[in-house]
Amino acid sequence: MADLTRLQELQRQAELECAAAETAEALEQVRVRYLGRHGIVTQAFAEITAIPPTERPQLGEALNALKSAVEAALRARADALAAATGRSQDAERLDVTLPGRPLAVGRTHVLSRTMEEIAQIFLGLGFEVVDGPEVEHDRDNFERLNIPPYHPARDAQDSFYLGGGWLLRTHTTVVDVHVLDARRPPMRAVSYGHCYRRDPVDASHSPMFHQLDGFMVDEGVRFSDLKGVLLAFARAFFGLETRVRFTPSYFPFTEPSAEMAISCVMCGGRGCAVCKRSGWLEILGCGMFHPRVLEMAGIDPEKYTAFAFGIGMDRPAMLKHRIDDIRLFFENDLRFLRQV
Amino acid sequence: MRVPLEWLREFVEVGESADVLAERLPGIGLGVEAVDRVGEDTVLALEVTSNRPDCMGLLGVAREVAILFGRPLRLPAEYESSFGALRHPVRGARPRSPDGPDSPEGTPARLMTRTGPGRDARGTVFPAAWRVAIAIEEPEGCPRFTASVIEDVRVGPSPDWMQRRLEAAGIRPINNVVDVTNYVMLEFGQPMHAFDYARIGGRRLIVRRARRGEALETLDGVTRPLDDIMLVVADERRAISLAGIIGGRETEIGPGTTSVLLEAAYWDPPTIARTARRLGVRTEASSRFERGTDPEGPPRAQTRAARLLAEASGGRVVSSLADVYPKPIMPRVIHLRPERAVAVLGVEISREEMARSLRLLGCEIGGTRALTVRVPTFRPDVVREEDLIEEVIRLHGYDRVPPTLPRGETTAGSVVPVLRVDGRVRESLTRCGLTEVLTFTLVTPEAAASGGGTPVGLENPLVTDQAALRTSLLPGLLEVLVTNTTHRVRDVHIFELGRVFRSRGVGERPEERRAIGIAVMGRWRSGWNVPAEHTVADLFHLRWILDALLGDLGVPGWQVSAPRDPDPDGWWHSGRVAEVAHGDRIVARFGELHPTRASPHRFPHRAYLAEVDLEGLLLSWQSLPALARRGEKGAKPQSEPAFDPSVRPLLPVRTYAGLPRYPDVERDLAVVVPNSRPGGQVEAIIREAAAPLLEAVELFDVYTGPPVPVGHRNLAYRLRLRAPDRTLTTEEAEEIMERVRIALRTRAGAQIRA
Repeated sequence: MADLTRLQELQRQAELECAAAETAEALEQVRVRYLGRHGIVTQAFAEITAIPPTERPQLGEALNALKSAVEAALRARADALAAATGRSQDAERLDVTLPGRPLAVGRTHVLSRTMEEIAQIFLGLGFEVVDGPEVEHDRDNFERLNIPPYHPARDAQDSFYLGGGWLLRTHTTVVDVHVLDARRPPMRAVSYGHCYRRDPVDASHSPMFHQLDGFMVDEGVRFSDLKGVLLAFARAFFGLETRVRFTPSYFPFTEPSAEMAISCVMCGGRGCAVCKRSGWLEILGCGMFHPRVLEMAGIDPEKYTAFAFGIGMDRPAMLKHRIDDIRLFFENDLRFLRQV
Repeated sequence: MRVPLEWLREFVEVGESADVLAERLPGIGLGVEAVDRVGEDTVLALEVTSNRPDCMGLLGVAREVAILFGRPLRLPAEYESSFGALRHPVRGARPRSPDGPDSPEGTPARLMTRTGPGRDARGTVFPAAWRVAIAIEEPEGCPRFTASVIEDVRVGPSPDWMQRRLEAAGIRPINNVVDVTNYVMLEFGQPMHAFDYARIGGRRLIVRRARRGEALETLDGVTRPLDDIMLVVADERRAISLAGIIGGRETEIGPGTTSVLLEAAYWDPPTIARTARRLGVRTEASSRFERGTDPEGPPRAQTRAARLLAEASGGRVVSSLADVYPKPIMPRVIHLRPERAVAVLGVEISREEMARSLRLLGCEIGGTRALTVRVPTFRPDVVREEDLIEEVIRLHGYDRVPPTLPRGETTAGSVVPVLRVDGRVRESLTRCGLTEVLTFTLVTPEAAASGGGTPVGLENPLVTDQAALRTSLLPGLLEVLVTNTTHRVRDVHIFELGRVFRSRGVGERPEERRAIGIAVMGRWRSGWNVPAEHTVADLFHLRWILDALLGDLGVPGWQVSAPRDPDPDGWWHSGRVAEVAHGDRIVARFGELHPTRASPHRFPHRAYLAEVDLEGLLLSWQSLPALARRGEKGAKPQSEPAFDPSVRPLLPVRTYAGLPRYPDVERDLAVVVPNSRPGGQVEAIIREAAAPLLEAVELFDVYTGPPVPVGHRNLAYRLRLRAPDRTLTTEEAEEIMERVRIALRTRAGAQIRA
């Protein structure tokens, strides 16, 4: 039966054993002997049920004190041992300047990352991010965008035909047509993905390239809103110091049409080889949707106005990551993909 | 359009440097691609958009420059005056009785010529003389045709100043006659053509469709077969010029030419575009006509050319101008509501400024509130109110529009579910150590054929190795393995998320499906003293990636088995390939690359590939009941419901199932089974027999060799058992293990060791 004297004896005994432990392992054995599942102190707690209830509080208190004292002795000795065993840790010293051991770390393709990043910017401006097929019909890809057969604008968008009027989409603007058909204003949407044109490969052209297109239809949408939204995009993607310039351009599906240039990301607009000394880099085409485009979608252009924009994705990615050849995107040389 | 500044300055005062011009011109829509020095002169290479045929002549550019800098425009007199007395041709006039030897006979119904006093460049009036008769059989394609005849021409080099200007503008000087026509085209935007008058049979010109089987040797020396959608200018016998595109060899101006017939016409733009495309010919003339020249241009160009030709070759005009204009094109009248312009643009511009701008552009303005705008014929692009609004803001300056953000209700942004799935796939696979690649959708016909199904071929491929749409992502991934092996990148762990295509029949919309391709080759962990043999990707590394992917997508209940279907395209090592099924549908295939496909490339390691039919997976998993119903009826499998990317699927949300509150019990189990018994079945039996208190089962060893009998292997599993509401006793655990052992013996023919 545990009594208080015996408990004091146990405490002294435990303290002695702690002091005698010369290694962390020996100290652990002491811990197990006293505080382990079948340890002496633990057993003593178990035996508390065997004494009259009136004596229990007093004994319990004493046992708790004993447990605390043993724990303190263990801790003190552990600290002392740790301080003393500096020499044995010395034996385990590693050359911390050796290189780390690599694990295969994956990353997304710089183009898909760029597209997602830009889509996120428009998401923040209240746009829906939507998706469309890569195979389209001539009717939707061209005619619904006010580009009839033999229109000169088709020269710039020479297409790959698949038979039956089906073609590989030449711009993601065609996704706008599907959204215009499926929804009613007000609406804002962007879409992105592969596009195809019959352009021979060189450092800045590829028959497969990438675009992000967006538009907004509502009552009272203004050309100035187009400028504001695209300025917000340019600053979010290229940096707050970015300036933009809008100049007149021509797209059959917008009127007025504009091209947006940003201040050169390389030279800040002072003029360099990348911007051909102009200080500006053209990155997107935009404008107010041509009333014909709205009419063909059954939307009254007198009531609603709309802006639309299309951004080639390859160029912003190239500018941001200082990539000088579009072919690198599709060669899939891991030495390239891992850099950007 | 190349603009020599020295030439431009003839029409408008431009003291500004080329750099200043290059900076200012884009502001009114004339992009400057380059500034070149040519001799003493500077040339601006302008990017003229296809809606602005007026700027394909220097005068048009000069008009814009004059407006931009607020300077007067100096037009050469010929462009202001008309040819002779004929300011406006008379519609439907019939020729007076001919008074010359070349008079037309048997005048066709649409033959319309005008006679009258001609005069030469110095203004001398000659007696009217019939030198040519013109018939337009296709007034739709040729609304206006003019011709004049110039005699006593001495063909030779044109004056130096003319040659210099032509060269600066990028056109090679040929002889004084041809150079004059080119000069007028560059100056005024009206292409002209010069025929050797003596070689025109019957002294008549007929504008007609080419006859089937007809051919024409054009100026470039190519004999071109013609067809009946093409317009030609013909003489009595044969086609002598491909209308509006390129002249014929036979009537070419040569050293012996003494009389020249000059043609200046207005051609219907789509007709020219169609023919140019059909023949694959682009000329300076066709690129102007297909954009739409000024229908008022031909007589003025004739006057100008006559004068220049007199200067350059001594020639004199002997006939009056024949001007046939069966389909007169009238200036458009459009209304512009100033308040509409302001509402669309978002910037205050006064009615007065709008009127002033449009007048500068050559419009005549009327109207009291809304502007009534008569648009000059050289601006065929301006057809409705929006076009006028663009002109107004173009001259006001796009940069003077303040950037604003849309008013009205704020809309909530969203991402369609299918793109969220794409995002989840990318996240999952990159976490597994894979790098995303993007390969071409356009592949060789052989590669397309190797993916199964009927490939979609391109009607007009650019190059033969990009002549079909891919049917599988595997050929592209194999290519990436090869590329990187060539570059001595030995560890390649990649995926692609893209679309594959199959034909549904001629003229039908091709099927387009999202797919995921994965390839792993080489080490997934490296570094000093890390043993290679344990860190090279193998089939089970790939399997783990698929497990992770399908788990992250939240796909429930999928099965891996050896493939039931053969492998006709020879992609897979026959002993190391598996298919993944969801319900009745095979949604993925994975395995080791077939040795014969791998061996030519000397890969440093074995390559393992997988392809997931993401579209099929999403369809199957989102609409299992619908598919099951169709299966019962034995419906055709190709009648798939259209996958609607905007609606489904919803990515399942991962939910918290609580943490265990009671300790587990771990038990090991060694099972000896025949090699023919798939491990997947053994595990399934264990899971079933140990349920419901089995928390996890892990295979930790596979062993063949003594003492395991030949043809058998030992599979060692560790089972983790746990009860949710109590500490599991040793007896309970043993009871579960006994159930598992009995099930394995009876259902898998297994022997249980240890």
